[in-house]
Amino acid sequence: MGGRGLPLVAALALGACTPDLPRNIHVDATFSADEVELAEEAIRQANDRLGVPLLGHAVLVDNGLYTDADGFHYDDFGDDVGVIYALDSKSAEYTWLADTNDRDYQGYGTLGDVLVTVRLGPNPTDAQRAHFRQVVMHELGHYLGLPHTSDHDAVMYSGSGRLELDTYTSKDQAAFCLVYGCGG
Amino acid sequence: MRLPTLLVATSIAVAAPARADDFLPQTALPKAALAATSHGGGGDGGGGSSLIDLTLGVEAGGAPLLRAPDGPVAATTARTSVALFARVSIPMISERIVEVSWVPRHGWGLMLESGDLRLGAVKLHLLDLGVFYDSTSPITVSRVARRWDVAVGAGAELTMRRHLSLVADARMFAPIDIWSVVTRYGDTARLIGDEIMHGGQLWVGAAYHW
Repeated sequence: MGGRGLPLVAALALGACTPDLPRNIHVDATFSADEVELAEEAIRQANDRLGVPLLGHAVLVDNGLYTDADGFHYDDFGDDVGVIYALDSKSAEYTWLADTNDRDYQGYGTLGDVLVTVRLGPNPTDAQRAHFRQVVMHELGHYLGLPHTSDHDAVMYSGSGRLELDTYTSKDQAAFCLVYGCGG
Repeated sequence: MRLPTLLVATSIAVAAPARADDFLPQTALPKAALAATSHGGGGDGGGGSSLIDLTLGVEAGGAPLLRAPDGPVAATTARTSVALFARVSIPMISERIVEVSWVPRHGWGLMLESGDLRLGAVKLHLLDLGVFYDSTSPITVSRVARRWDVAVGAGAELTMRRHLSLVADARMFAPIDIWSVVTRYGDTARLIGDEIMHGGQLWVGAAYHW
């Protein structure tokens, strides 16, 4: 089911539940130093490429590291504390998500939290770092209320296409403006 | 005025004018004609002259279909509950019944009961629809913080004596703002939906009619 209609409908539907901006976000303290750095860079990209140029202000406030006593749990979505969580691919939560939807996930984003399953090893390559950053940017897009797009040249592309995008593109900006209006 | 206060005030205001004379000055109809326009009172099968049918009742029960807390998320739905209710109708205007209920430890409900069906001494209301104000804690999936639920259900009433009935009601509660739940919880909202479906309350009790 392709075409431009679906993303538009999805954008309008999400727009009916647009979160107030800026949104607070934390970064899971269990991420490695490399992962924290890239997650924080993804937050900056959201502000520099979406918030500031399109709305005139930041869309995310980085509240630093967050320690959850028992790691991510389903109900953390509803605790009003936005966190970029590291989700262990062997955890019960990931297993439930993958089994329920019959697919694997590199990340998962809702208006409640962001989950990142893809992880970096001790000495990540540039490609692995770019991959991780794009996954975080993609899920942060959902955290901001953005839907998927069918355009390959967008961070919010729904498939597993380009993974070397280092920032949100004009296609992402267009989707963002569908949801937030951008003052127009 | 907060809604619970409004609901109580409304129920008292509706229930208070118990005498038909209170309404007569507004119409030229004699009492006999007025009685002829009403449709029976309180399911007692007789009389049929009341302007307002008032029923007060108490019920108790729980969520019989709720699964044991061994799933991926512990259930936060009341396994037992008690409900006190007042049901009011004005037969001259409509057979529909408005119910105001109080569920201790949870909140207040306002329901419109319809879909009436009478089978001998049993009166069914097959489509009850309303709202529930979670003044203390939601009955179903209380881990999802909210103030308002939509409530749907059905019920039955078995007339035992002239003024006394046995009553049974099923009620299911779900967050009114279900879209926010889906966008916040993503696919794991399915777990919430499952708990809502299995967490419906089944109440049995007694009611007194005026």
